[in-house]
Amino acid sequence: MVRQIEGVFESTSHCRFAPALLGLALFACNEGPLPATGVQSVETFASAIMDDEYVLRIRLPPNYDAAAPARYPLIIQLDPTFVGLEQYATTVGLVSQRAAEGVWPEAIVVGVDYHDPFLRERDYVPEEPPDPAFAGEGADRFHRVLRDEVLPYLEGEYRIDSFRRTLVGHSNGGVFAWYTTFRHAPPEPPLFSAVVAADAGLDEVMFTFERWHAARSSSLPVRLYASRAVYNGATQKITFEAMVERIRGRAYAGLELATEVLETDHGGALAPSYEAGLGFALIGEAP
Amino acid sequence: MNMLVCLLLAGPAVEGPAPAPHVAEQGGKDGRIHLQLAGDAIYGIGGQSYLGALLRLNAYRAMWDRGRATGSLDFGAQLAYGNEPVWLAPWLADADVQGATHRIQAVVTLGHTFHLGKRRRFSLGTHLYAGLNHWRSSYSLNYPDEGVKGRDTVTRNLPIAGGQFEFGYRLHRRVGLHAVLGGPFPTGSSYAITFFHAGLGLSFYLR
Repeated sequence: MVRQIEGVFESTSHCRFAPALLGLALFACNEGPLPATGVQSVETFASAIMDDEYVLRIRLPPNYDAAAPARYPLIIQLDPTFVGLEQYATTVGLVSQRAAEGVWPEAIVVGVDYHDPFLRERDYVPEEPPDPAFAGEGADRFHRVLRDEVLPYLEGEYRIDSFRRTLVGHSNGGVFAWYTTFRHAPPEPPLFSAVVAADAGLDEVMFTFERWHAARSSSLPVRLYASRAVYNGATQKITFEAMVERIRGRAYAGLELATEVLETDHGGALAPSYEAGLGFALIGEAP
Repeated sequence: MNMLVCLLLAGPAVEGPAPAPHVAEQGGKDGRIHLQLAGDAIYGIGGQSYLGALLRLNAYRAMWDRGRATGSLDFGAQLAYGNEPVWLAPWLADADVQGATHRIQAVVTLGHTFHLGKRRRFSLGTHLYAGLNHWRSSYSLNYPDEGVKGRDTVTRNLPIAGGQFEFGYRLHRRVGLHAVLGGPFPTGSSYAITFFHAGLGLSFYLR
């Protein structure tokens, strides 16, 4: 089912060009991710549900010992390598740096990637109209892939604390992060105890998922960080503010919500959102 | 408008052959500074597909001449407007979203043009540009089933720099066909300053 295809990798910290599509940046040029610690590997993962392969990019903490009793929080990174935005490397660098400083706990980071990263469009976006049974394709199906295949595999293979899972996504990855938040179905614990949703475009369907959740339960035991880039446009502003107002109004039991509006563009929201969001997710640090 | 076209086509009322309002057809460096006005209908991609118009005033002077080619140094100013309507965004087609993203670009241009052919009717220009981009995202949204309704506007001014190719064919002493293909150098905010534009229009040879 799983095949290791490469070994240890180095992190990068330089400008690089990237193919661009779909309204995202054509190229990203910044200081790059922070240096990584630990051991990184890449595995292919065959999904029976999707009838396709995923590429798992895995970072284990320094001194990770598979035989030791210690278990680590798990961070699932969406869009690990999409259009050169280096999201997996960004998260790995942040965790490496903050954990080395003793500010955050060490964590296992897994980027769920593709041979063709543009397959994200197949997985992250909810079907319309949405299926109340969540039996559709798109986000419904990818949620099943994570819940029934990827997470059980990872937690069988690595020393992971299954009560401390964080899902991290930006843009459409953030859309899937919001979706996953509202998929919580008590009395089952949420699939992810923390969610970082960076500058996601919230369509009408996301309000429908939220409404369905509110009809199911008055609790939402999730630590949710959500951000919005000021310069991502007016529709994003309207829907983000409406969603935040709505879920604050629900007063969900167990929900810890942190929101942030960033004076930047869509791509520029990524790194600051991940830094603040992971701080909130891992130690409850207010952004 | 008709009067403007007539004036442009008529040329100065002087005795004898008037100097050509473009590089000399037989080639050579005439030492004159020519003026050309180009207007194009444009299509491009920013946050989504957009339509718009581009107006460019170009001053140029022949700098070299060889065989069937004359080269000119060009300097100009360009104003462009782009509109991203909801109907060009398929993902918004079924949503109750109204409004548009507007974009105005004012830039100066500098470059070189090859004027080609026996009568120098063809032209191929390469220009760099730099200036300002004003981006305005203005929408109203209504999801009645979800009780979500709002209206808002977000604006942003950004410096912009890029390059473009221009193709021309002179149909008449005063009028020619014009095509343009270009785009800003990419940045993290390319959806605001656009990824590229392509257009077709007319050129008017003013001087």
